[in-house]
Amino acid sequence: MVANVMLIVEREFAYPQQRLFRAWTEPEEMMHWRGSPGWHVEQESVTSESKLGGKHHHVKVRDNDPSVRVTTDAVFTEFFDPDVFVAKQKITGDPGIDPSIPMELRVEFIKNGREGKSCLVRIVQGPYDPSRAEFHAKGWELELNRLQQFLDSGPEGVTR
Amino acid sequence: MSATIVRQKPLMTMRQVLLMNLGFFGIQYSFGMQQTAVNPIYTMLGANPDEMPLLNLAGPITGLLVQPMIGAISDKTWVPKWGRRRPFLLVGAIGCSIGLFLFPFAAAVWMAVLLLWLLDVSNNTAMEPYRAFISDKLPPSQLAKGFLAQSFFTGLGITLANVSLYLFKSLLGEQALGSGIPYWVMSAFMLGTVASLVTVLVSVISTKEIEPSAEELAEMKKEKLSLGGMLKDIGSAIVDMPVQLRKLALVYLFQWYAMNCYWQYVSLSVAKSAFGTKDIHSAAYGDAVAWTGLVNGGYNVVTFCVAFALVAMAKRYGAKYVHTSCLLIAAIGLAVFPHITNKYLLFVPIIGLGIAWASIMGVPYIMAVRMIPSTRYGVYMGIINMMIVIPMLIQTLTFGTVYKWIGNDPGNAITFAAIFLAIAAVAMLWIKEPPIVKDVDDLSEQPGN
Repeated sequence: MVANVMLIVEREFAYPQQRLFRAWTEPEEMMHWRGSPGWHVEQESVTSESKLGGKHHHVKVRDNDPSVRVTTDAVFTEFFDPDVFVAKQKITGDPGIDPSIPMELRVEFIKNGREGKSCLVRIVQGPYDPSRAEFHAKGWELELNRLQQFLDSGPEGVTR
Repeated sequence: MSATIVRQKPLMTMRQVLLMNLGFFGIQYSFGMQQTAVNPIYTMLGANPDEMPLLNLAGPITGLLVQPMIGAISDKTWVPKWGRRRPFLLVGAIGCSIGLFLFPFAAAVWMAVLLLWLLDVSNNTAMEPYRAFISDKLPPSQLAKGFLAQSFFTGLGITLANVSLYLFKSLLGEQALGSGIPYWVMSAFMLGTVASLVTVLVSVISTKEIEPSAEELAEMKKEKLSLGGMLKDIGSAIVDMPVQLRKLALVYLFQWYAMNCYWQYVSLSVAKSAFGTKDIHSAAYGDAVAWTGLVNGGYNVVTFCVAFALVAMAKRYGAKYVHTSCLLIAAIGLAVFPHITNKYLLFVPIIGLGIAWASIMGVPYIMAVRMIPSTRYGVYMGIINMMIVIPMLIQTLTFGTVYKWIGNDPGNAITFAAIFLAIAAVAMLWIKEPPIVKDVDDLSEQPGN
């Protein structure tokens, strides 16, 4: 199968645009919620240069089998705080993703409502093999649930 | 808890991308005819050269008003079986076909002016929804390919329009309609009539639009289109506009003023310098018009050849220096152009304009997209469009007077264009270019590694 499907995942959060952008781009925030249930992000692995052309690196580890590791290396091809970032990614260790084909992750933060108290997050990622696209869509859905929980918990020292 | 919405957008093959964009060829053929054949027709119908800018008012006005309006209306449209953008492409193509069919039969200047308005309104009706059609169908990673295909068909359409004038003249000779418009001009318009309709039909039939979900349709019905909302969006984007983009507006002011001068006066300049005539009713003037078509075709061929190389150079050396150099080469070429008396030698200085035209069509955009968030591309592309049409409008309103000051000489109008291109090149140096983005393959020095 040829990887030729782009996933588009959207969800509205009752938090301002700037808050969402921070949760997605600052390493000390990302490490708390990135990864689907059953996985976690290895905290010391997260590094990110928040700028155009900046590099990003993180490793996701399976909770019940730490030998299963998925590494993401990326470079920001677009970085506009707090509107959007785009990263070209090289993902290794996921059996459903060919590491030789660069992936693109694009996350848009669209202000909602007159006072901008809520924000629509739109994730565009791919290309995925059509048979794996559904699986990864589910993964994003669960990961966004985690983001919601993280934001709701209002962690001290992280939320500013 | 808010629901998560998941959609899948298949990537398109190169063949699908080309078929989707084929209609752009027909629309650009029509634009090419406007660039090269309309002004000579005005003169054949008895218009004075200093009236040219005002007679061309349709272009900037429709570009300023019709494009954003149609773009906004099509955003709120969904016609079952036809889609969101395709109805506008078809209506625009039909309008272009009618305009091109009737144009050679214009018996007076006012009729030609009305037909130019019809052509410009139709072109703009198709143009903006065509760009949105690409954005709707292609995922962000394939957008560059989609827009590159549009540039390819832009070059091809305009080149063929120009070359067809010369070819038909060679084939059909000097016979003319009662109004004085030759059969060879009419034939080029008839080819455009067929090309604009057929190519758009092929695109519309071969490319289906992505149907919106029931929720999106409900949302579309709920959100009423308002002029106030549109203007508010544009206003806030202008307020938020990055400083470097404002500087680009200054470059565009001189650059597009100059291009309009070139298009309006090149035929008259070639007639005077290489064909030794100012008599617009002479056979030599007809020859000059056909030759100008070939010269314009020539610069578009150069555009084709160098476009990809310029993109690569802009990535390596920076868009700012590449565009500055291209504008300077064009300025030198246009400064020499009106002094050349050998019609074959005209193809040498026009190489400069071909290089600059390739740069104008692509290189500033490479820089602009790094200055603006892609979530606001729609509104900023509209503003960049204004940065093009407003200088054209200013040229239209002022150049009639300037033309008198410079001695009613079309050669001086081309020299004036050269000076303005040189000023645009210098203004370009004022821009601080955003950093050039590295590729994912160049990740050997990860901060975490």
